[in-house]
Amino acid sequence: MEKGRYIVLLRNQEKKSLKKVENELQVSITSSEFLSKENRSFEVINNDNGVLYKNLGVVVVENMDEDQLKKAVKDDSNPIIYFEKEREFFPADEMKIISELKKQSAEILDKINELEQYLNNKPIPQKNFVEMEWGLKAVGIEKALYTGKGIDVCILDTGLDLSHPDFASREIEGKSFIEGEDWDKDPNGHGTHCAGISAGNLRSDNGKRYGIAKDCNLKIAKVLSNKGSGTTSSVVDAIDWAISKKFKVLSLSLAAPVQLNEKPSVLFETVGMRALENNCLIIAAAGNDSSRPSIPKPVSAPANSVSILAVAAIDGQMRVAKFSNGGLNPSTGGSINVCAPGVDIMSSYPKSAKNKNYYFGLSGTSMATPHVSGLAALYMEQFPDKTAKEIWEMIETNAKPIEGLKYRDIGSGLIQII
Amino acid sequence: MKIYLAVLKNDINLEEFKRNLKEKKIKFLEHYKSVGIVKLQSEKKISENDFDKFCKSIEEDKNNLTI
Repeated sequence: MEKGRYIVLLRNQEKKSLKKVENELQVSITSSEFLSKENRSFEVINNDNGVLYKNLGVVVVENMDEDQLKKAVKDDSNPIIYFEKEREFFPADEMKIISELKKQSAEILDKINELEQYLNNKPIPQKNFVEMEWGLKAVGIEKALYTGKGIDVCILDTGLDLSHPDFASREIEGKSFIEGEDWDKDPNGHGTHCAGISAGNLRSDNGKRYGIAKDCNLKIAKVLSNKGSGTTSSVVDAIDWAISKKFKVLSLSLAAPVQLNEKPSVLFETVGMRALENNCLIIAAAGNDSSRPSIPKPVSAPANSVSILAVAAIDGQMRVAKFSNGGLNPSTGGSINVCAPGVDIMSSYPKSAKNKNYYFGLSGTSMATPHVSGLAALYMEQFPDKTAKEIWEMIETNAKPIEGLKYRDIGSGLIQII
Repeated sequence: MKIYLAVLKNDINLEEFKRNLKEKKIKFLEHYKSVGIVKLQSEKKISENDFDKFCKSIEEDKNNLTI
């Protein structure tokens, strides 16, 4: 049985009701209007009586039996409708409040320190620390959010060394258009190098990134012999195969020199056009016949066809590569569309008695071309509804002009990741 | 024997073209359908003038593409 001082709320203050309360609670109720200096409330209450605060309809009583009050509230005929035990209130202590706030802020500070420590020690994604070849940095690969996933990129070249550690575990489709030579072997090395730039990832020896579209579906068409040469018919045959397979990007790091004012071949013009109609983009090397600055040579075939995207090469100092052909035949076609890194490019290469490593540095518009092919794969993944022709336009629109270099030599400029 | 690559005109009668080739003892080797090109083999030199009705162009196959 709990006893103490209680605040009791009454339904009404009729005499009859007050009498009933006095009887039940065995107290004498003094109305607050009769309180005075000589008759203070606490004195009345301490004498086991109650004080009625008329304006509030509340009686304060001392030493009550709580069970009795509970019963009274439950009884509808009883004038007591509510009660609660008196609470203690203390004057606010300002220093106590400050002390409490200090305590709380210390707890928050602990949480902040804990969070800071977590963030500082949190493992950062590996890509932020991956070193890259200069060519990849130049095209802004660190900004890339796409990897060419799901895009079929076909390298028409000397084949691919499928035993190379960077490709051995990948699912790669290929076909040889050279009699007696397999697509999955590449004694020449040129095709493996180009495939690496387009579709390679990280070097297995030092972890440096050298490829652009690591998740694209790599396809190989061997159209150049192990000696590095090939026929028009082999290339046409391979392009027909690639289009029928619905490959999206065809990378041709091959070229045949043309004369000044020589018209582009109707054959390759048609092939490029039909490829675009089939939503397939052909990208080709501008050729390496120039001896700049004194002797620039015109864009080679098949890159000189207006339906094929022509790629020039630049070096690490943002200069046109001395060998890179230029748009000297603009009236008949044969313009450069864009440029890409093509000097001292490190990429995958077959290991041999001559080359002790799985990587090798090469220069040429052949190396610039697969940079563009890889980029096209990234764009195609990013913009799946765009046609091949629209992707071509985007590549040119987003290319960056290089100060001091002519449109004739680099077209719309250095390709860029967006 | 030389190899030629011919770019076909649109909507030609391919069977009629093949008959023409046979008459001139030109061998029809391959039809690259997705690009509309045919591969031919002939002892004599051939040009688009010989097949103006069927072909936009005829070029001799060259082994001049290099890395």
